[in-house]
Amino acid sequence: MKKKLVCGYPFRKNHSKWLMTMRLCLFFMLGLMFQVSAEVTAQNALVSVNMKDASLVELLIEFQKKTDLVYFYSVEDVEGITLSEVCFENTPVKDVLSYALIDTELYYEMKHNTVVLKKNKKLKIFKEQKKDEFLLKGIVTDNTGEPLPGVSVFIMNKFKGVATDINGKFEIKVKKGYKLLFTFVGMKGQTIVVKNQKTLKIVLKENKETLNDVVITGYQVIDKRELSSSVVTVNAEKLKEGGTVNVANMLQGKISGLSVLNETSTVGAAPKIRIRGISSISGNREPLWVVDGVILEAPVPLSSEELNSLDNVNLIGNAISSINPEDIDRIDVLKDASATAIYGVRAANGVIVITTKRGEIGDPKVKYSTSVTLSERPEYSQLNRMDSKERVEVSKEIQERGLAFRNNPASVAYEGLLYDYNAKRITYSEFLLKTKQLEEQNTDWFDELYRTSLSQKHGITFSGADKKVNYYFSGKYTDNNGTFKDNSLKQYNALAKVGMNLTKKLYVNVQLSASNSDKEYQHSSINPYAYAYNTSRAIASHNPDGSLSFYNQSQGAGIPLVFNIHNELEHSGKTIGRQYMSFNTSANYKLTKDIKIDGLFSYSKSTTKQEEWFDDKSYAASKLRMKPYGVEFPTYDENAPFYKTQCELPYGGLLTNNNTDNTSWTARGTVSYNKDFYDIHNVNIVVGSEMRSNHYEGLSTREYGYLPERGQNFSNIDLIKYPAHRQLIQSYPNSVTNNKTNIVSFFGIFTYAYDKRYIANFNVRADGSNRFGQDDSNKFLPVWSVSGRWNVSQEHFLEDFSWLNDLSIRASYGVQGNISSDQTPSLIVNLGSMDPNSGYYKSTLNKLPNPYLRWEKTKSYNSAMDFSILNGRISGSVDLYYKKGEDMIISKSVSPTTGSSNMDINAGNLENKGFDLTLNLVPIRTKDFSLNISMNGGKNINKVTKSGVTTDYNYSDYIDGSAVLPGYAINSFFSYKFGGLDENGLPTFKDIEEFKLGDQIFSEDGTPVLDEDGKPTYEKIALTKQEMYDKMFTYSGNRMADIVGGFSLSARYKGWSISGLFSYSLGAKMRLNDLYSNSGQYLPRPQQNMDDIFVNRWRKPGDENFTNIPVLTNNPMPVKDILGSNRDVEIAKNYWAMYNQSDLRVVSTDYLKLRNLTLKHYVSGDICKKMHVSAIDFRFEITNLFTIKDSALRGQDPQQMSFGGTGATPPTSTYTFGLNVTF
Amino acid sequence: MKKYIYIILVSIITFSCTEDFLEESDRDKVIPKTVEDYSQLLYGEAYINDNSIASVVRYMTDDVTSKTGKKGWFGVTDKRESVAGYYNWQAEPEYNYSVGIAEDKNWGDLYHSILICNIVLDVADASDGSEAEKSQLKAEAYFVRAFDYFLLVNLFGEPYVNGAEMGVPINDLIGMEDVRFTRSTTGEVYTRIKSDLDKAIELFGKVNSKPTIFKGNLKASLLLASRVALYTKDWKSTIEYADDLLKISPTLKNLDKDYVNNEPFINRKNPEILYTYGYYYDGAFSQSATYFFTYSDEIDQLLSTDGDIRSRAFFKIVTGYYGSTSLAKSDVADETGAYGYAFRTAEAYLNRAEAYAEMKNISGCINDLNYLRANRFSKSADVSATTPEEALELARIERRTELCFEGHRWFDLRRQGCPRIEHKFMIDYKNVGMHEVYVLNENDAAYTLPLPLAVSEIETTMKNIKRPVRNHINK
Repeated sequence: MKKKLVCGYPFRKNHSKWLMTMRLCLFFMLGLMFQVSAEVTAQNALVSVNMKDASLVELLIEFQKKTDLVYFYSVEDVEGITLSEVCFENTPVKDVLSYALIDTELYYEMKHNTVVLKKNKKLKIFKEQKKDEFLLKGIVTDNTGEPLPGVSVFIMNKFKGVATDINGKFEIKVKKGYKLLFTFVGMKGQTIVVKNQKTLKIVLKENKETLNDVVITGYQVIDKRELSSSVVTVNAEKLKEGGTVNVANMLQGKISGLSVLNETSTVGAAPKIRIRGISSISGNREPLWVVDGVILEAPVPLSSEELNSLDNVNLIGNAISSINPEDIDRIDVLKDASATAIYGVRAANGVIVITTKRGEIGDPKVKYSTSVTLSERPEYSQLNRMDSKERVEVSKEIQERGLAFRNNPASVAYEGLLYDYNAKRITYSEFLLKTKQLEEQNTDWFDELYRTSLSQKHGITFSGADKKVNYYFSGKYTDNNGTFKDNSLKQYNALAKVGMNLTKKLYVNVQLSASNSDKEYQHSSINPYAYAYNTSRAIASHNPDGSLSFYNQSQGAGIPLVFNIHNELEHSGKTIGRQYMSFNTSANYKLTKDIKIDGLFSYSKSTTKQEEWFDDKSYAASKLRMKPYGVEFPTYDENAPFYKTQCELPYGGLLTNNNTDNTSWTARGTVSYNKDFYDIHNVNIVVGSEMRSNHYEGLSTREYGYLPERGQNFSNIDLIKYPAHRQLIQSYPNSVTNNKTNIVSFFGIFTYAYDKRYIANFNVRADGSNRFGQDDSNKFLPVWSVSGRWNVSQEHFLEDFSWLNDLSIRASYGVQGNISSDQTPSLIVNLGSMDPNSGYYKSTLNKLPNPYLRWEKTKSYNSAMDFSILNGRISGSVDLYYKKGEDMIISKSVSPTTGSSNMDINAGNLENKGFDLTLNLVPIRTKDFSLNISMNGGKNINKVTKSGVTTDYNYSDYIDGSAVLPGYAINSFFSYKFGGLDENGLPTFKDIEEFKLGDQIFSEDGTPVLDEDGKPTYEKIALTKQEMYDKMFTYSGNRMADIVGGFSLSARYKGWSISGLFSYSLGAKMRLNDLYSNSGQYLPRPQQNMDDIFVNRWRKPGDENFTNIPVLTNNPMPVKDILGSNRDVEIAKNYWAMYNQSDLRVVSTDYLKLRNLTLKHYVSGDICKKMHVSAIDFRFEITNLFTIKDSALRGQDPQQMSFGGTGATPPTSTYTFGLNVTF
Repeated sequence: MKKYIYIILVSIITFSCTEDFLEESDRDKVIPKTVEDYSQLLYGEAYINDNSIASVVRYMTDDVTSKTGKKGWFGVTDKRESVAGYYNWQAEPEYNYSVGIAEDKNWGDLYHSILICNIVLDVADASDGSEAEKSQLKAEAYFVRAFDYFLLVNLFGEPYVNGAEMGVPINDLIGMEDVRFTRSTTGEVYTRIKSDLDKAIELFGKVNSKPTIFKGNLKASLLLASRVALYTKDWKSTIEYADDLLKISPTLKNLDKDYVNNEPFINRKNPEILYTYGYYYDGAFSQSATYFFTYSDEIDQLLSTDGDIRSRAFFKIVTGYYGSTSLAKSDVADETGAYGYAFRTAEAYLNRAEAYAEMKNISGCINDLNYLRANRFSKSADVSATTPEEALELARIERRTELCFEGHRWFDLRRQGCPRIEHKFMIDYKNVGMHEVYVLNENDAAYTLPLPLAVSEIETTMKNIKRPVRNHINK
């Protein structure tokens, strides 16, 4: 047998010993269990009996019929023993026997299949020792504090019992060590062990709340009182939000230590989520999403740069986008290493575990839910943009002061009128009249491009369950329209889930889910919010005759190219479609009472199709064509620049297709063993292995000559006639993605509990993958954690503190590793295509060998306290954590002389520390009225303790916050020090001289050398780059908030409830939108709008004392010209960029917003009955009703993570009406 | 018991799958093992044929001047910005005159190519393949590396006088490492180049493979060896290597017989092309702009000799609405079937002619020159010289004319005494007479490029060229 097993390990010999040991253990344990179970089964045989006034002999005869056991007894001993009532269902024989023999002098012995009943002489004496008995008094209430009459109070194994009286009170004679069982219909039973207490207060909880007393980790369901790690649970009711489609958005402000970033009202955009700060410098920072035990993969593989960048808006959606929020029953967020260790290396950023709904015991239920949401469009109010009068005034000043544009300005707005007037196309009086019209134009670009949008959702669920089968089916249609006119999302979801008790030991669950979503966006070259924000309101979108009004945007081949936003939107677009299907089946087999085997298989497939296009009428096409639409081409001449180099796309537009298929499957097997020993020790062991495979296949193509209006045809373009087109094709070759990740994992969970008071836990997991070129010695590296819990309130010395319901202390420590995919001891090349000229194949470098790279390691500590007092009126928890990342991988620039430009090194250390706090208050709780206050908050301090590469950063890394600097948090950014305006109204900056003063200079005779003003002079010593940056930059803050959280207030009166959820964020900083062009300020282009702060600009000498807004000028102010070109350290391109990026333009993004306000009504049962439905509720919700923020933001949204540039459309207020009807 | 056996069986099957399951499976990646794998890597990463290498040198020569055309419909366009720092011999030529940096990638690209050659040479013998394949691979790597160092030492090393001048670092790494370098002397660098070329010539001689113009080969190695000898003033070797090459490949393209109108001179069909590399594209030479660069009057004059077909073969009249003459010696690979730059047999004659002249062999020099001219003119255009100095002057002029815009001129100026050069810089399209004048003095420090900013930022201790701040003189 053993030999066979060894053959069964086909692993190469150089695998780590550790793994081998682990595998052997697994087999050893399996073997052991089988042996034990063979004996145990007979004794544990379950019997059901229902006998009244029967004799013991009758009972034994009954047993013999029902089990394989053989009974030996002396007839003399058993004669005359009668039992008043024996009523058991599926109870082990030995338990029934124990019960039957309680008041007798008999006891039993069991060996194999034989049961022997014997007389015990000592027992008789023991029985008489009743002096230990004492009277225990108590009261039983429900969780609102209402006393419960008629509660059964049993002494277990004794079959003595009483019931509570009308006031919920009871009295019973007990002995120390007795177990009392409290049961009541609809309530969850509760047992307690009698200690020395003389009074008891028992709170029974409603049965349906059972779920709240456990946490679900995806691998295990753990009783909350035995949980030693940090897990936060949110149930479906708390999640619900009217206008939101993606679950990720709903988590904001609801979970301590979890922050949701990058909110936009762009429909279908996925937010970024960070749990307990940032745990990686170069790797992915997103948490892992798990649904019903299976890890969900992102639909499209995105690089960690794309995922980590705070400026990148993810329109494709994340792993969770395809899940219907209505199907979610609960979410468990695993935060500390102890909770996440079981997910291995990928879980370093936390895990979000979603459990979907299942049918509840009872009659079949059909529930229809719908909601209608109105979203407000963004407006100019508060944004502080110039109106057309102010803007025309700026143009007038430019003209009056004779400031020259660098390039000829477009013929539009006031400048356009000047062209016309100068060319004598209009008279002076016409000029004046039209100028006046311009001043009154005030085009509302937000109105042109945006709308108050109407979205709706319809969902229907059908669910139910009996003892054998439970089922849940749901379908949902979402029609979500963005406030931007070209933005919409249509999504269909379906979920079918059936669970069956096939036999008494085997439970099988099968679920199938599918979704389809179609999203529409504008072409990615257009940012509607930025367009509305930045475009002059003196420009009209339409001519007086109703036709579109175009203006010159750029220069083509001998003719300007014209632009109109409506035309552009009409002739271009982008769609993202995704189909998702997943099949998930799991089985759970009770091998014995203690041993359970679980199996799971899941398969999912998703197809994401991104399509982006523009046709020949668009400006985008005209830019490639170099002629506006409809303009004739010059006569063909192969040497004419138009044909030779300029015209890249003579006909049609462009269709870009990007299709990605994701296929993934997971297979998992676990064996769990759970046993109580002597009623006081509990051992719980889960071991298992898992295989996962995830495969991305994609094709991205660009098709030129696209003619969507001509039956989506493509025109053929002559490659000889248009060599520039040929080059364009060649510079964007089609590309294929094909990568597959396979992972094999082994894991184990070991928990020991003593008397439910002391709990110790050890988790371990090792993953091996098929990653290319990895070092075999690194293939498996275990991730592990230890944790413990002390249920303080269970201690005897706290028995008398009846107001203390729960007090416990938790602590955990874990080590997580992560290996960069760049770690490879071998050279890896990408197989390239054939060079068309030479016919030789080209391979390109994928990775140079980097054999010294080691695993990144994160050590996490968590300690916490949970408490609940005054019958749960006040409850909460505090978690303190400290995470230390060591050997973090940092990409370091190396000297180009080495032949490489960057290499990854283990140079970084990163620290996250902070606390998470949750507090729930129930000041009032009666049958009709209750008031709930809950708050959560998390503080995270992120600090890089070692970065190793500081000298590599240049000024732009400091500016945009990408420099990873020791002593600062990741995403810290720096600014120039604004030094006020000079006497010409131009900006100045402090500390930008490239030298420091050294020793004082003395002439040869020893006298100090003085300068013109008679002051002593000093040597000038050139600064190093680092000294220069230290001197000229000032720390501006962190783009990520230190403290985030939320609090909610909710009140319920009979069927009515109202709740408000606030979310807040403190400690983050951002830059205001740029006032100038970073490439050097020229005059504002005629089509460009400006911040109305310019109204207060410098106009005459002396103004510098009152304003920080520079003069209107065409001076590009390059640093090179002002400070000289022979400086060693580059500090910026020009003063205008420095102005945008100075400390003057940094603001705090602290905010408090009323995220959601909901009024809800449950229609009373009587009315429902009359309407022949079982329940109706409706609600009215407002989101983003108001935000309290710094006025210095000048209308910018604090959550919009754009940095200087205008980003995506910020969140706006929405109003939702929702209705749920259950039949 | 039966079910436990099943469970064990299932477990065994599961475990036996894992080896295949964990097999690396990306289809587009390989860990190179065979000579062919390395050969493809060398071709993709070490050969420089899809980006322009050392193309900025032309702007520093006396073959280029600044001109102005007309104003476009949408204002004034200036194509010169990215290379103006070179044209005006600025202290930091990567800065252009408005804002921004046109990064000098030559250093990084060439050292990257060197690194790949080092890796290939390190593993060639241990990889799978025949001896002949290995020799071919190694020979190519030596050739490519020699040319990389040749370009580096001529771009960033001081002009060669006796070998003691500041050269460029020698990089012997075979993987990623975070190290700093110091410069070797030009002598040390040339020694490395010569040794690489000798090995390449020896190995190419052995393998006897069918050469193509897209990869290193024996002829190209001989030509480069002759050029290197010429640059290091080793006249004897210059002649010997040229002899070796011309013995096996004497042919020149006869323009009088073979020239097809509008065909770029550097093209696949040209029989005198031994090896092609680099990428031909030059935005600054594009004339559809208000300000642009073009060939200088001097080079125009040199090519305007009566009967010289090269004026047609190297330039062409553009008849479009800009209507002027443009450079057409080469073009993009789609047009020519070859890459943008070439090693040509003609250079061997010119190398040898110059070496003969230096060695006072007037007839040897003049014979080579006249043989070349016989293939370039539509009528007899023989030259003659009476003194070695005259012969040398003729050889140099012929070299400048024949090899113009092929990356030779700047290097030739450096080894021929770093003469004074003036550049006009147009500043007003409305007034063509108005321009700025920049002067590169004799033996100016700016005859050497400074370290690119990307290098000097990290290699802070590496010696750098102190180029003077250069302002224009008004004229």
